[in-house]
Amino acid sequence: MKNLNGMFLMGCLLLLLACAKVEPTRLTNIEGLLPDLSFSLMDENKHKVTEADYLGQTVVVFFGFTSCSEACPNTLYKLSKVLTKLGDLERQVTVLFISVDPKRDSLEKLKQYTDVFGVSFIGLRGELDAIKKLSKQYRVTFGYGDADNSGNYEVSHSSGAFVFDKKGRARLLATQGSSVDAIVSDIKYLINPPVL
Amino acid sequence: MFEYLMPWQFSSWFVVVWLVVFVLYTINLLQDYSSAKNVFFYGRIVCFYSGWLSIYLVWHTYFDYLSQYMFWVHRLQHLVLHHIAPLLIVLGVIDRVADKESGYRAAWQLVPRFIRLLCGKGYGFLQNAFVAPLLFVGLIYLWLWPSIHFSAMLNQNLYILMNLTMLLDGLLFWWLLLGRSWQGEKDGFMVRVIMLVAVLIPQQLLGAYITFSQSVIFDVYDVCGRAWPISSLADQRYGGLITWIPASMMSVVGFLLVLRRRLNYQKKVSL
Repeated sequence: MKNLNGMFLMGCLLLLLACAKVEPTRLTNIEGLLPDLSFSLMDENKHKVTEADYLGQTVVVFFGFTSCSEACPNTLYKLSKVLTKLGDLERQVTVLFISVDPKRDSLEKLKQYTDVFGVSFIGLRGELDAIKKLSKQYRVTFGYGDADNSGNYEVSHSSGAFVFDKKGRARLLATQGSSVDAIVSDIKYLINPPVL
Repeated sequence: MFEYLMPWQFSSWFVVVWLVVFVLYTINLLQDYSSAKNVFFYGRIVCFYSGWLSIYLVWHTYFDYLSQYMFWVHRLQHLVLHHIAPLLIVLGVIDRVADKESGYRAAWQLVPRFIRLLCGKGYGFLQNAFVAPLLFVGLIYLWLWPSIHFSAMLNQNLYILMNLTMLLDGLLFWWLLLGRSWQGEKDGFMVRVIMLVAVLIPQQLLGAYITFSQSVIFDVYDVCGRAWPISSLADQRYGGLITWIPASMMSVVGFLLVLRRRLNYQKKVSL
């Protein structure tokens, strides 16, 4: 009986050890936690796009809305600094800004908004149901607050940026606390993984 | 209203197990329906069905969506899955199992010896007065460990594993506390009280720590978004309070039930 208990405890410890991160990344490693990139939406240039259009690119996905006053501009500004620091590698990275407020965010408005941050930033829009389905797939959500007298309302949404590798696999998660340097170094790692 | 009862994430295995439990209990109940009944008989039936129903409500409806995107609703979900529903179900089945114990034992003998031995060892390990409280509190701490909580909220399979272990552990713990003839009625009382205190204090400490924390411990809800706009710290504080107060009150409920059981035993002895 005692042996059995010991083995059980050892088993538990081994299971916990298996949770340890193995990749030398500074952002949160989400490999295997979330499904591969998959969507079907309209881009800001009024083209229907799917994940296949971005294969071969390292893709950063952020769920936000253009009327956002804090998390969205902060994150996109931070990502624009990341892209600048990446230099030549910038061409291998695309930032997809998926609107969770399709009621207020038209494609034109999205284009105007993302162009401020750079050419690698692309706004995507879908009907509310499609966005809900997509957000469920990536375990994120959003909700609307009550509208004020002029029709403005708060939107609660995900503040994380999901990074997918060239093959469309979910790899990293940058949060509000992640530094520009950490994101740069991890994206470099994804673009050019060291050969073992 | 009806849409809120619809599955947020339909799970066929959950529905099957949930319905099988219902059918088994109901058949068992109908077999004795003609026997003498009193208020306790009906009370236990109500306990069982409300526990059974509450598991569906927090696991398989819109409530589950809210639990994934609001820390305090998640704590409420675990309060039901780990404390309230298992206790109600155990209260509902104690007498039914006791009445038919010899029949179940005979049926168990038909299971191959190897499986019986393995299950017996596993059950014995889990139903140990030291292991059970450790597991009860340990699982709460484990799933609330920030990095583990983060992964569990992000990964569908880990999330199911978390809820499942909470429910099963709840059943095992309350069963040990209130189940039949464990270590004899005479010696069991003190151990049961110590077990309740042993699970009470760490839960209070953890609840208080979360409630009074000035920084965000569980950032996964910021990362994934909340079901409606609410500040991160407010959400965390409500969650901490639920971990702290109602969860500790369940130990008080457990104590009252153990005490009642003790009094019944003493009455029986003195007769």
